[in-house]
Amino acid sequence: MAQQADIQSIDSEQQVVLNADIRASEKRSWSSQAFYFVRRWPLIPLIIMMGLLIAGVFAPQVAPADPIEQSLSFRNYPPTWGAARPEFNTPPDPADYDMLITKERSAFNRAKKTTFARTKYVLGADNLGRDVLSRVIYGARVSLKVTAYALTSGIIIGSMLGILAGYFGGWTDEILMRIVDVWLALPFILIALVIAQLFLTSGGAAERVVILLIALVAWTPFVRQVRADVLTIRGQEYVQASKIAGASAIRLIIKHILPGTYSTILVVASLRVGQLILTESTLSFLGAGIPDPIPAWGKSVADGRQFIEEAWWISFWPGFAIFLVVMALNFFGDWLRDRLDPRLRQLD
Amino acid sequence: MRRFIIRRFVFSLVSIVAATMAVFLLSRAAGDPLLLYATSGYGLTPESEAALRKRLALDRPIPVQYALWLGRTLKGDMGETIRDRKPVARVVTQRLPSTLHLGVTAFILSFVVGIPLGVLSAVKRGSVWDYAGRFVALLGQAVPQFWLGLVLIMLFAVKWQIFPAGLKGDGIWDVKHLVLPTITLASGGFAFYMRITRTAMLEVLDSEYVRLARAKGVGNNKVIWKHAFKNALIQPLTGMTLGLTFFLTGSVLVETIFAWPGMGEMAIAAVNSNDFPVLQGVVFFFVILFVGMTFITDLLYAYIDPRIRYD
Repeated sequence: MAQQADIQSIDSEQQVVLNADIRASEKRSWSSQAFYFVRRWPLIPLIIMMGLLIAGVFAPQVAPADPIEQSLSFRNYPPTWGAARPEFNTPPDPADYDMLITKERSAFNRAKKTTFARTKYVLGADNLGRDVLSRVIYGARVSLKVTAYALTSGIIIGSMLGILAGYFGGWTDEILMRIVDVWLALPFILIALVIAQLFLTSGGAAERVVILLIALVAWTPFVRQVRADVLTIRGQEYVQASKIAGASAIRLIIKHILPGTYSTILVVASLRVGQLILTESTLSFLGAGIPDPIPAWGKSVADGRQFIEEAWWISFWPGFAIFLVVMALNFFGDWLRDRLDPRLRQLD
Repeated sequence: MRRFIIRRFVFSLVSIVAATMAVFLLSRAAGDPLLLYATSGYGLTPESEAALRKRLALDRPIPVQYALWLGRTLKGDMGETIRDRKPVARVVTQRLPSTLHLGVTAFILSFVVGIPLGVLSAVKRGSVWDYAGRFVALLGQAVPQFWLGLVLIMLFAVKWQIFPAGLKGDGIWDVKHLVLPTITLASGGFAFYMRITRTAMLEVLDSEYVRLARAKGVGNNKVIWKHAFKNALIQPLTGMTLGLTFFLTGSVLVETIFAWPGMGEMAIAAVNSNDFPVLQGVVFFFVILFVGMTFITDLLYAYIDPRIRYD
């Protein structure tokens, strides 16, 4: 009732609005309130993103098994919550063995070794008997790392070019924007495959090559959006005033123009992450990713392709992980855009 | 207007040159191409090696090689494939129809499904239809096409055995082989068109002339389809170029997954066997398709929407 008293003290116009709000929220059922909450706040995407982050950073702690260790007796072993084979899941009973004889004791130990906790292959095992769940968890690491580096370099390069194009205008602008246009017309997948062919075969740091490939596509939207921002900021009075006061171009850009583009950069970046993860996994699927035995999502999907008839779980789960993560990131990006910068709606 | 067309045309040419040059340089950087034709030590004398080098113009500087390649390509001669010495132009154009077949079908599907759904979701904003439509669009944008293709194969080809898992049937009307690849390829494009249409439609429905029409007493259907829809259609029509990238990169993936005998599948095979004349040819066709479509939609934009500035 204290709330009611508070409302009384507020002036009448606001009171009407508040009362309407309270009535609206009281009228809603529990389920529709929950729906309203989920709709208003990106709860589910945040949970998925946290999951991705935890899986990526703490992979060795979270993963139930080693992602690389093979055990061929469990090749194409189905998810254990599905059709588990009992002979692998019942621990041997010591009473069945004569533990006084060495031969029997070693038979018991052998039997114990081939059994495992029911939780071991939660999502099944792949064609080499590696735990699919662990590979998915470690795969998050690769995706996170590659995307983080590529996105950072994309942000830096793209925003820098965008500021240059927007601030100086004229020929600089024309040339930079045409470069972006031409860049977008390149058949990126094919070029990436050729580059990967070139550098991945000649050995060397595959991870850096993959980061470079993703960075090649990361930067373009930043140029466009930042340029558009700079064009409006440049005309603002405070920028003009500081220019008249004798500020240098560098000071103008760093002190007065750059801070105005932060929210745009944040929004574009959050909308871009999902696409970059998708691109990375696509390249990895086509064989232009980080080579074996390091697990990557796209490559795991490709690995399972030939076993699709007998072991669907090998390619299903890594792909599902990509799908969930990209969807969560897109959701979150949309939400952030609506919050920070609804003008950018044109972006999709 | 004329200046605008000329500018866009010059720009298109620059794009084509840039893309082909990038692939040309990269394929030359991959190692001495002569080694792909013949390995010395297998009966290749230094004299015949020099002769072969001369015949393939590999003894000239790389920019000259590129210029030669471009000149010959414009005359319709794109060299020979490395593996079986067939003319590249013929091999690539043989594959072109099936890529177009798949691409155009998927394009039509995504347009026909995406645009009405976008309109529906805008008209019934905030309703269950709107949420369902937007949710499906989000799914479509997030799903990796290579995974969707595999899941479709798992369900429809392996489990229920309704559709074949791959390959192309005979003729255009062999729908059975077409269903799964088309759905896979259309998934991204459909989501894209739906979102664009929805945004455009919401904007138009909020404009003053639509409100005037409603105030005048025009019926709801007529307002939507006659007044609003026509203007809202500008966005998705001109967004075709952006959507087209979905279909080009998508076709590489989808053709690989479904063993669809098109240019994309050939390109992947060419990359893996280092067959750079074929790769050059495929890239050339892809870029021409893309740039040509961009050019056409730019003109279309200027034609449909008189508000656009020509600079």
